[in-house]
Amino acid sequence: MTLVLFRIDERLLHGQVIVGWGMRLGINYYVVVGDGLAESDWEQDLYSAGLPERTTADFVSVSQAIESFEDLDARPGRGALLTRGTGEMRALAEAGLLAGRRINLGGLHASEGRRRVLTYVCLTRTEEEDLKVIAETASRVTARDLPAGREVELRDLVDVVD
Amino acid sequence: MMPLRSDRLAAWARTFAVQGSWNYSTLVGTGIAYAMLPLLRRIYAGDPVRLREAVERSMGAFNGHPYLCAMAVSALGRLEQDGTDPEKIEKFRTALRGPLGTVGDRAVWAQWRPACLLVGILAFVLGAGPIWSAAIFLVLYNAGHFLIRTWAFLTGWEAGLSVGRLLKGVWLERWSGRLWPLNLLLMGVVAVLLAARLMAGHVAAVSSIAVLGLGSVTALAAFRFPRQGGHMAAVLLMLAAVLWFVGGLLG
Amino acid sequence: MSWTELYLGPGTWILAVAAGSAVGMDAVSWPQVMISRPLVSATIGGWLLGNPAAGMLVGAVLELYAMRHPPLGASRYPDTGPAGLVAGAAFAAAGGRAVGALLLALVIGWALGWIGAVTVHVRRRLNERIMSPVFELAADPGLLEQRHRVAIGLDALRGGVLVASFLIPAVLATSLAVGTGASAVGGYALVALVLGIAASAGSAARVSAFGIRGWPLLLVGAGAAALLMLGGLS
Repeated sequence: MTLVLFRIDERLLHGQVIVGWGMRLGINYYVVVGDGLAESDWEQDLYSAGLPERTTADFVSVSQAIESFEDLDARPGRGALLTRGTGEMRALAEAGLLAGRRINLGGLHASEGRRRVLTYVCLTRTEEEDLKVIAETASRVTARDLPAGREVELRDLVDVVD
Repeated sequence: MMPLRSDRLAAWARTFAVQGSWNYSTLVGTGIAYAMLPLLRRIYAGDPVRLREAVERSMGAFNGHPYLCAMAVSALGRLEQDGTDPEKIEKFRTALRGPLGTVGDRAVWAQWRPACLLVGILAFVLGAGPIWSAAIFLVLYNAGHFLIRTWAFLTGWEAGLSVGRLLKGVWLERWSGRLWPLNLLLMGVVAVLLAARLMAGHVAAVSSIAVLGLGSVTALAAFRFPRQGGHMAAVLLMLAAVLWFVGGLLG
Repeated sequence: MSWTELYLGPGTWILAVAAGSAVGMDAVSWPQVMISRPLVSATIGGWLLGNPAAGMLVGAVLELYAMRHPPLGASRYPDTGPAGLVAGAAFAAAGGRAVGALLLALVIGWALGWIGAVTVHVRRRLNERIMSPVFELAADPGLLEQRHRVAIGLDALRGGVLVASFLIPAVLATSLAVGTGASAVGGYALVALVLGIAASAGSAARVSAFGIRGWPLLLVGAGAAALLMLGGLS
């Protein structure tokens, strides 16, 4: 159980995550779950270029993540698992891997088809459904941009939308 | 058409103004488009429709350290020149924001600028004239500034899509990572010498040794709790002024 | 007290406002060569009023106060260019010696930095309007360039207006403060000032540090400087 942060944030590895959460929680490895990214070397290079020294990032596809979850969750140190959207996290939840974990919703920004629920969270219908499925197995799903920020419960988010 | 050397020079020069229209919705995005225009105009010469599309995607939200934005300007220009698929350009833009911000903020704002400022103040308190001290700071700092900006621009143009590989463990990170102990040392030196300069020739209420001891404790407390330390510094400045003027009025 | 005694004639005032535009614009818009740092802008202010050393003394203290606010992302930080220039000029105009004038110049410089921060915020909002709608600007790159330059020009104007508004009041206030002499209570003022510098230095050092593990280095530096002074005194 060395993965201490599960976060949905389309910006993946960026300042809020690396500095805001990473330094606070003492994260020394990141696991980025996403099918497209797991194949794209140049994108991986870019995303991991801002990492501090002695911090690593692994980019795995959803199926790889499900297969090797136990190993990813048993590495030395403290880790953070990041996904770009709700779909990848839902897949992990459906594979039964998120039981008892807290899921953090960090940034899904305005685009067509999404409705704004917080300054940094905008959701489509599908994404709402994904989050509800995740919440069925995870212990808690909340939105919070930074450790010092206000934590908002999922039911409040979805209520606002409905 | 391939941008000429003069177009690239113009784009480089414009990166100095990349934050000129900084705003809360696109951040530095419009500035990126402004700096890219000399490149885009050449690349899409005679094709106003594609120029408009390129300008529009260049204006999207972007953030990053202003000096390293030069890398975004030239790398994005390179992608346009190579006829890269717009969807791929968008992915590249999104991914590039992270490292350009974190690498630049850590290297320039957290290390290089404080180091140069402290050297400038040190020169002054050690007796160099004010004009010289200011010049030492400006020349030293901007040597680094111009180097970073120029390197970033050239690297972005050379590497295009693969700048990420070059950014990982880049010289900028390694060098700035070694600077922090020097900054802490210099901060201690400069604070004491500056305080001594301010107190010279005046009678303080307590002895110099006591002030040194109290000052050390205060500085360490502020180092441990920087936010509260900053507030305390402001309060102490106000308190100093109030004490002086109240004391003067009372006689 | 005549204008010539203050060195602040109309010509100097105009130069100071022009310099205020330059240092106001430098911090964010163009060209970020850091003449906007209080260490430099206060020296320019002092130099315009005939005493660059007085300006830099104020600037060095304001610099330690400003250093703990790196300009990260959309955060707020003091706008130190025009503020430093006014403070440095005010202390220089007041003779560059009196403790009362120094303290008042520092308070003015600190406060004006935060007033400037409000104007920076207003400018960021205004730029949103200037740089929209996106499709119109994309269709006409010449217009995009023009608007971008207007935004930079407004930033320069902002710096100039700050100096124009506050320079004369600041010079008058510090000049009046020269008259206040040392006193028993006032002796503690210098102690408070030095402790304020210590607090700002400690706080600013965290910007460069990784965690708190480097703290002994601060003490080593301070100790070395103290020994240097003892050596100089004996």
